[in-house]
Amino acid sequence: MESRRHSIWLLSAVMLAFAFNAPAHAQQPPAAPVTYNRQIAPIFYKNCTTCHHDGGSGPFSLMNYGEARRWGPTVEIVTGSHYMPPWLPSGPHNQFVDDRRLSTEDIALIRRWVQDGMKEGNKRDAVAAPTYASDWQLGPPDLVLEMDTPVAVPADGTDIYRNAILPVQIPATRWIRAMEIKTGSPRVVHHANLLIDRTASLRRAHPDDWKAGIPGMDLMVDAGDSFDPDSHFLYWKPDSSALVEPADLPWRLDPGNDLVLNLHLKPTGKPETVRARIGLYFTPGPAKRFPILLQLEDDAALKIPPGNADFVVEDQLKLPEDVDVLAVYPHAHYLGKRLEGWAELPNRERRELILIENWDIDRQSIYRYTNPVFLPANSVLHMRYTYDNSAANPHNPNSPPIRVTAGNRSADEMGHLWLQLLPRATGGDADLRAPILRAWMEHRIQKDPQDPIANFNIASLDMTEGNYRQATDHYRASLKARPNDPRTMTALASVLSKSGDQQSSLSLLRQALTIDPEYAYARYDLAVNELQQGEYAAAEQDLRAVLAQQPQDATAHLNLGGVLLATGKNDAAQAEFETVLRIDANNFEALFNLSMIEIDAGQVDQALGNLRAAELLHPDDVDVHRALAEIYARQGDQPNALREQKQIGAPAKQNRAK
Amino acid sequence: MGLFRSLSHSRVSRMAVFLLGLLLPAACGFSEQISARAGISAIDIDGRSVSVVKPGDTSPVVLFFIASDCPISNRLIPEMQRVQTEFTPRGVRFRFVYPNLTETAKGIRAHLKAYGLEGTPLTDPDQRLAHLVGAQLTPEAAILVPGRSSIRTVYIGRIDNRYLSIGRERPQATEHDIEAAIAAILGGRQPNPPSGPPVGCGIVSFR
Repeated sequence: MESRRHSIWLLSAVMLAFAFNAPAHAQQPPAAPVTYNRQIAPIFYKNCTTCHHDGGSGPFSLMNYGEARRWGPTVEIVTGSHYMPPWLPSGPHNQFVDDRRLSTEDIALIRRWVQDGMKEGNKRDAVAAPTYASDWQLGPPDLVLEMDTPVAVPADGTDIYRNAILPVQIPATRWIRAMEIKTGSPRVVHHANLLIDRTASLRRAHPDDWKAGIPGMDLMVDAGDSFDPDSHFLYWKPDSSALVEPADLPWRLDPGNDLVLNLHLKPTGKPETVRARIGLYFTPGPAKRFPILLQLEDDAALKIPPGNADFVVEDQLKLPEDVDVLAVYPHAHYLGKRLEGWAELPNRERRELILIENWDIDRQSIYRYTNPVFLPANSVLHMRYTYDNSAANPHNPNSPPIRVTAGNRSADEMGHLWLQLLPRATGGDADLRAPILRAWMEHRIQKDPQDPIANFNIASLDMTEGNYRQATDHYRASLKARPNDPRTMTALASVLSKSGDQQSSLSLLRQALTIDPEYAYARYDLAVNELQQGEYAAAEQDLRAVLAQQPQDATAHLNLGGVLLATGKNDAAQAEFETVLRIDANNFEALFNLSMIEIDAGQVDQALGNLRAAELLHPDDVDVHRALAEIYARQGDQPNALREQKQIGAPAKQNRAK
Repeated sequence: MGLFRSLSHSRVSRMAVFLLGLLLPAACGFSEQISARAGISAIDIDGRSVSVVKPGDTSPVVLFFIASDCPISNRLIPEMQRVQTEFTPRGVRFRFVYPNLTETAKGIRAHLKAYGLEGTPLTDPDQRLAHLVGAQLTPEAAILVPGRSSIRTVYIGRIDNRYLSIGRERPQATEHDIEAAIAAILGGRQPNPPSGPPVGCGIVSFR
C-alpha cells in the first residue's frame, strides 16, 4: 500500500509539471528580437543618460540610436561586470536613494540586443527622450560662489586631491535648503565633498597660498566657538543632481564662513582646468531639527604590513539616545577592500547600514537612506573594514607594497564610517546632539586618553553644562597634546575667567596672541575681559582689530557699541548698534541699547519701535517693560504706563538687557 | 604572425570565436604577412594616400590605434607620447591611426589639437590596417618591422598595464609593455608579447 501510494504521488507530480509546462510551450511565440526603440532606450533613459548626455558627466552620450549603437558593445561589457551604472553598495535595491543599478533582466536585454546586432526596431515603439537642463537644475540660485583660481590638472600622473576655499560673502545668517555644485569639468572631477569652515581656519592657516587650493584628501576644520557639530553631508558625485534638504533640515551659513570644496581630480590624458561653482538656494529657516554627523574609526590601528591582503580595522559605539540614521558615508583610500557598517539593537537584532564588498575610491559616495533607519537608545554601531596591502591589489599606490598607516595623502590610508543621525526625541531647550557628541568623544578618549580633539570637545560640553572644573581639566589635557594651540589656550582662558581666575585667563590670552596675533577669538576675549575691567581704551582698540578681520561679527559690534556708550560716545555707539541690526535684525541687546540712546536723544518714536521689537523677542524682560513704562508716562499715556508697570511686577521676570 | 598574439588572453578567446564562426574573412584576427616590396600605405584625414612603410625601409614603425571619443584611449595618450618622444630620436617612426568609421576629419583635427598629437594622423576607412595587425580595440599598439622580404607585425596589444578592465585602474602603470617591446627590438632582441590583454573601446566598423 505504502509503495503504491508513493508511485501515484509521483505520477501526479509529473502530470502536474507537464500540465503547467505544456500550454506555456504551446503559446510562447518565437523570441522577438530586442530592439533599441522598444527595450533599450527606456533602460538607457532611466539608468544611464542622467550622466551620458551632451554636457553630462559621462564620457559619451547615449541619447539616441546612433550613439547607443556606437557604444553598445562597451555598454554590454560594463553592465555585465556591474561597473556601470556606478553603485558600490550590496544589499537590497532602493535601500538608498538614486539607486541606479540595473535589474538582471535589463542586463540580459542589453546583452541580447548587442548580440543580435543592435537593431533599431520600429520608430513607433520609440519613447520620448528626457531633456537635461544645461544650467542650474533648480533655476537661478540665490547665491553663486566660484573658485578664485582654477586648479590645473596635468594630462598625466596620479590622482590629485585639492581643497578649494570659497569665502562666503553674506550680510547675515542664511539657511540653505538646496545646493548644486557645478564642477565645470565633470569628467575630471571624480567626487567632491563640501565642508563648512566656520572660522575660516583653513584660509587663516594658509594666508599666502589658499587661493591655489590646499592639497590633501581628508581635512579637519575648526568648528567655531559655539556648540555646532557638523550636521549635513554636502557632496557632489558624477550622477548627483542638486542636493535638496528636507524642509525642516536646512543648513546654516554665517557671515565669515568659508566653504571648502574637497576635490578628487583624475587626469584625462590632456591638460585640464577645474573651476567649480556652487549655487545656493536660501530658505527663511531656521532649521527645526538638527542632525549630527558621527564618525566611527580606528585610525590608530591602521598599521598595515606590506603583503597583508586581509587587514581588519573595527570600531563600535553605543548610542545614548533614539536616532534615525539619514545617510551614511563610508570612506577608505586605495587599500580598502570590504567596508561594512551595521547596528546591533538592544534586543540583539542586527540592522545593516552599509555593505561594500569591492571598495573602489573612484566611485565613493554618500548614500541617503530611502527610509531612515531607526535605532533605539543603547544600540551599538559597528564598523568593520578590511584592507588589501598586497601586490595583487591593483589599486595599491605602492609598488612594491610598503607598510601603510593612517594619513591624509593618497598613499596613506583611512577607515571612516560617517553617519548622519537625527535625534528622535523632542526635548525642550536641551540640544539633543550633545549626548551623542559626548558619547562619541568619550569613546575616542577611551581609545586615546591624550586625544586633543576629544578632550577639547568634552571640555566644551562640560563648559556649556557649567562644569567648569571638569572643563578646565579637559582643556588642560588637550593643551598638553597641543601646547602651542591658540584656540585651546583661548578656550581654557574662557573657562578660567568663568571660574574667577582672571589673572591666569589674561595671561593665557596674551600668550595665544603672541603665538598668533591674528587670532580674532583670543583678541575678542581679551577685549571683553578689558571691557569688564573698565579698560575701555584697550577694549576699543582690540574690538576694532577684531572687526578689521571680521567686519560682519555682530557680537564684536555690539561690544564696541557698549564700550562707546560707556565712554560717552553715543553717536558712534548708535552706529555700532545699527550695524548689529543690519547683520541680525533680531538682536535683542542691540534693539534695547539703541532704544536707550534714542530715549536719551529724545527720539521717542524710534525708541518705542525698537523696544516693541525687543519685547517681541523677550516678552518677559523687566528692563524693556521699565523703559516702555517710562516712555508712556512721558507721553502722558497713563493706561499703557500702568500696564507696563504691572508687567514689571509680574513674577518670573527676567532681566536680559545688560 | 600569430606568435605573439596568441599568448594574450583576449586573442585566444577571439581565435575561438573565429574558429566557431568560420564566416569572418581570414584577415580578421590574424595579421597578414606583407611583402616588403609592396610596402604599406594608408589614408590621411583628407583622403590622401600616405606611405606607412615604404619599400626599402628598415626602421620599425609603431601604429597607435586611438579613438577621439574613447576615454581609456585618451587617458593613455600621454604614455604614447612619452614613448614617441623617447624613441623617435632612435629612428622609430610613429603613426596615430583613427580606425573607427564613426570618426570625422573635423573631429580628428580637434582631437589632435586638444591632445597635442604630432605627425600625420591616419584613418582606416576599410579597416585594412586594423585587420593587417589584428587590432580590435582602441587604444592598441602594433609594431611593424620591415625585413628583407616581408613586413612583420612583431607586437600587437596594450600600451601598458594601467587598466585591468574597464573601471579597474592602477594608480600608475607598473608594466610599460610597448616601451619594453620597442627597446627589445632596438636591442636586437625579440620583444615579449603584452603581459595582459588590452582594455579599451571596441573598434567600430559601421558609420
